[in-house]
Amino acid sequence: MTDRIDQLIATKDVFDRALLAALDDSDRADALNRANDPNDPNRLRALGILAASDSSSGGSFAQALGQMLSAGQLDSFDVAAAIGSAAVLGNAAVPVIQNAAASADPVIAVSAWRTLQQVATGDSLSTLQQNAPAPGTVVGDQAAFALAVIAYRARVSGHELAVPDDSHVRTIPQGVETVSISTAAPTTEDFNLLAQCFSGELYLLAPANGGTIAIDCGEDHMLAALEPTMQASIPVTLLNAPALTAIVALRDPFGSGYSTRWLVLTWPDGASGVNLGVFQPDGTQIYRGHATAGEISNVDASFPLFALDPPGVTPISLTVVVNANGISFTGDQASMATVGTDRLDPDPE
Amino acid sequence: MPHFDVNVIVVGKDGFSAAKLQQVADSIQIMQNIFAPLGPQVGTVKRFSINTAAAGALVTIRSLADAQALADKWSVKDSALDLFVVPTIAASANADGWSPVAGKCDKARTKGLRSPVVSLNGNAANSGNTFAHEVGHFLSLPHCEDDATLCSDSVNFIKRQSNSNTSVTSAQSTRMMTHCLITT
Repeated sequence: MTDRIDQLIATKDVFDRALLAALDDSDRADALNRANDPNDPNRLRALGILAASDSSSGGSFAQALGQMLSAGQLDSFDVAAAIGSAAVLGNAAVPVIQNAAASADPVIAVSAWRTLQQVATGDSLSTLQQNAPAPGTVVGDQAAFALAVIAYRARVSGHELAVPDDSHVRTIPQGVETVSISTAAPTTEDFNLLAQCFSGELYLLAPANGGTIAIDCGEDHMLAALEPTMQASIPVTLLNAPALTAIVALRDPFGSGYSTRWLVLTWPDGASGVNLGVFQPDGTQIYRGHATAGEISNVDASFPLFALDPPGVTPISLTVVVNANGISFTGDQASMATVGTDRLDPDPE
Repeated sequence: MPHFDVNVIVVGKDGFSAAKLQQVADSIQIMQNIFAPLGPQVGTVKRFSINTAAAGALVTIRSLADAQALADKWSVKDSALDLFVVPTIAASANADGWSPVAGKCDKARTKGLRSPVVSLNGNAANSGNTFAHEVGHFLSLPHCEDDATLCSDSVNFIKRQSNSNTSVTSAQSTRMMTHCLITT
């Protein structure tokens, strides 16, 4: 066991990238041995070190992951966590976890569908669709959302999501405390922190600095990144087909990294306008937007954005404008300071 | 005696093995032991659960964004600290848990991670430290590496690489006593 691997496993909430960069062959061999040892309580952390240090499709992470999934020695939570890491392989993860999506264990199957939505491309869509369970269960609902995300990424019609009706909209009541939402161009350091995420974490979207804005709202610091292949021809690209148009990534409390918080999906409304939905990766839609034909010019599209009613969601008041120069906000640019719909109660014991 | 109350919310409990349930109990005990010598004490511990079907995809936490979504969706409507316990965090996150530093006491407020979210990664000694480490952040403690004046020991419970450390300093105790969650 090497000191550097011991130190990385001992970290709680801030991964030491300098230490990671200093790993040598003996360290990586130690991490691989630990990841492969069914009796090592830190084998998932060792797998994480391999994910961060060698994520090539034939590399040590892929080897260790394959062994974990085939050995059958882990409980379902650990298998789900291992599958959750497979996205570091990018699209190469699809054949590795495809069978897990059909698992009878819902914890494993849901995790597999979530990873597939991160990394699968249009060429896998029909096969995945054939194997997807019907919506109406936890697994079926996640699978349906995953197929939609994959289709939107591929800009393929046929998986358009339902638009929540007005009864689900929550606005900011008069006189309540609000928090301002501000935007700015990201600093180079901040953008680089996002850009160094593995591609699956960013849903295969390769952010461009010119299409990324920093968003600050209370303690939340986020970066919203437009899909670069769409940006130059907006709004035509919005009107042409469904799209995974942007991601919104959240910075951790210590400023050490980003993770994707929301997916921004857009799709034509059939009347020369465009629908926009902001979704959590579990498929929960939290914001709804719609640019009517009158809100789409030759150069940009404006989406008044409204919060929906899932538990814990916060009403907002702003308009999102997208064009070839990127994303900007107009309007009140405010958020309620408290939740619009009560959080759920866990079960008491 | 200055103390804080805790709601331990076990996510996916219906899928926990007996060994994992025991690890939760052991980790709570280790957390209590870490805070006990200098305080604040861990006061009343209430237990709650979210079953796997209700948690859905959030039973497997992949990132800080997932942790924030979990704490945004559920809360216990009282003044105690909500401590979410998940079975694992995806390996690629390279973390055992997260917490805001100097967390808010008004649970209805939004913005930022609302509560500590901790995992059972590692053995009980490790996860016991994780519970205390993340609660320590909530109670205003930074990592030792970010404020060395609070840490005079080499085996402090809130070092970045704190593994199964259990040591708390009097300076840290004093800092935690000022948090809005502490009652006497």
